[in-house]
Amino acid sequence: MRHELDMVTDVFNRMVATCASKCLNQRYSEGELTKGEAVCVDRCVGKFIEANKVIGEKLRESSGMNPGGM
Amino acid sequence: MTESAPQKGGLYAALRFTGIPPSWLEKRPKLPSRNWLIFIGVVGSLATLYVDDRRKCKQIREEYISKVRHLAEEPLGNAEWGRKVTVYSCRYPEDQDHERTMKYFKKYVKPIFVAAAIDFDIINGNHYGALTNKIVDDIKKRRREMAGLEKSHDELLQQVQPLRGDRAPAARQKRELEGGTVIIGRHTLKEYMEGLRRGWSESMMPRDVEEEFAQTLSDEPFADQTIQAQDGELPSPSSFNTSSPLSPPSNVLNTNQKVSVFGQLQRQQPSKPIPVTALDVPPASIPPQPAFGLIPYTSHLGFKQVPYMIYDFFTERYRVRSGAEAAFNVVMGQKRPFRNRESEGYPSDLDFDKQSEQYIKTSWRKLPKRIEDAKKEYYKELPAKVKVARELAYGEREPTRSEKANPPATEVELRSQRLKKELKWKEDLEGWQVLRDDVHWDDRFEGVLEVYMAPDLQNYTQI
Repeated sequence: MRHELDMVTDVFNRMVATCASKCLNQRYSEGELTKGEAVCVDRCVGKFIEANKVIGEKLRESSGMNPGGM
Repeated sequence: MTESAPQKGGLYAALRFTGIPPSWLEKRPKLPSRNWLIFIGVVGSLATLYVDDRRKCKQIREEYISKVRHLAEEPLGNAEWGRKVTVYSCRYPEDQDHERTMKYFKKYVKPIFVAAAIDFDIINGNHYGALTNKIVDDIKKRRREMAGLEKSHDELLQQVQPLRGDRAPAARQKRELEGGTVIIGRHTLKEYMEGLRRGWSESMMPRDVEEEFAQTLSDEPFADQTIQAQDGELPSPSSFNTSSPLSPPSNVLNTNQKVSVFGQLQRQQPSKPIPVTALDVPPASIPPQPAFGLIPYTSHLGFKQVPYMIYDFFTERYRVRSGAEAAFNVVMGQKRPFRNRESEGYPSDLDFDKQSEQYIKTSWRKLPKRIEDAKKEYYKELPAKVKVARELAYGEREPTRSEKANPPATEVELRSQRLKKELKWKEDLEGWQVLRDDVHWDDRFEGVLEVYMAPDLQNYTQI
C-alpha cells in the first residue's frame, strides 16, 4: 500500500519535472501558463502516460514469460 | 591580365617567383568539354530547383507561423482549456496507404496549429466508408442524449463531482462548436456530408449492423453436400448462427450431384424490426454545426502519374502555401455561410477541390467488378476447405503430415472468416458508392453550416 503510494508519487514527480523542463519557457512575465505551454504540457503528460503504459505492458509480458527470472 | 602576350601579364609578373609552375600562370580560361557542360547543367539546374523550392517552403511556413505566434503567448486560466479542432481524414480512393491524408495534414497544416497553440484531434477513416459510419454513430449518440435516452459521459461525471470552468458540459459543448472541423480533401468532405445526412435522417436507435448483416447471408456454402439441392430459395437466415459444426450429417441421401455453392446476399429486410417511438422522428432542423476548414488535397498514385509526382517533388511550396493558408484561416476564425450553389462569381462549396477527382486512378471505377471477382474466387474455393474441415472434425480420416504441421481452418473459423469477408466487401461497396457520387446535400443544412474564410486583415490588429 505504502509502496504503491511511493511509486505513484515518484511517477508524478518525474512527469512534472520532465514536462516542465520541456515545455515551460525559461523566461516569463506572469504566473499563468500561456496557451502554447498549456497545450504542450497536455501533450507531454499524454505521451508520458502512454510510454509508461507500453513499457509496463512489455515488462509484464517478459516477466510473465519467465516468472521469477530476470 | 593585360592585352600583351601572357608572359608579360600582371599575374605572371606578380607570382613569377612564388614557386607556382609557370605553365599554370600561362593557362587561358577554358570551358569544360561539351559532355561535362551537359552534366553540370542538368545536375546544377535540378539541384537549384530543389534547394530553391525548399528554401521558399521554409520562408512561407515561417511567414505564416509568425502571423499566428502571438496567439500562443496568451495566458490560459486554471479552469480553462484552449481551442480544440477536430480533424477528419480518410482513405483516398485507390490508395493502399490509409493514412496518407493524415500525413498530409501533419506535414502541411499541423505546424501552424502547433504555433498557434490550437489543440487538435485527428479522426482517420481506415477504409472507404469508415468515417461515414463513425460520424453516423456519433450523431445518433448525440441525438439519443438530447432525447434523454442516454446519459452523456459529462452528465455522469457531473453527478459525481460538479465540473467547473471549461469542463462543465455546457462549456464543453460551446468549445466544440467554436473549435471547428478540419476536412482534408474532397473525398473526406463527401464522406463527412454523407455521414451528417444519414446521422440526422435515420432512426437514432442503436443497431447491430453486423448481426443484421450476418442474418442476411445464406448458409449455402456450409450446407451438407450430400443433400440434394433445393431449387430456388435459400435456407432460413437464422441457420447461420444456430447450426453447430460437430453435429453429424443430417441426411444420408447420397447423390453424386454437387450442390451449387455460390453464396448469395439476400436482399431481405433484417429480421428484427426497429421500434419507432415518438422521439425517433428525424428532426426538421439540425443544430448549428462547427465551421468547416477545408484543405485541398490531391494524391498522385500509380505509374501513369509519375510525371505529376516528379513535378510535385520540385514544387512543394505550392502545397505548403495552400495548407498554411487554410490553417491560417481556421486559426483566425472568420466565418462565412456554406455556399451550396454558385453565387456572385464564387464557386459552390459543394464543388470544393473538384479538380482532384481527375487524378483518381481509372481502376477506381472498376471496384465493384473486382469485388465480384474476388467473391467468385472465394466461393469457388470454399467448399473444398469446408469438406476438409468436416472430414477432420468428424474423424473420417487422419490428418496428413502437412495438415498436422499447419492445421487447416476449422468450420467455425471458416464461418467467421466468411462473415468478415462479406462484411468488408459490403462496406467497401457502400464507401465506393459514397465516394463516386458528388457531395451529398440535405436541405436541412441550409444556414447551419459555415466555412472559415480568409480574414479581413484591415480590421485585424496584432497585439
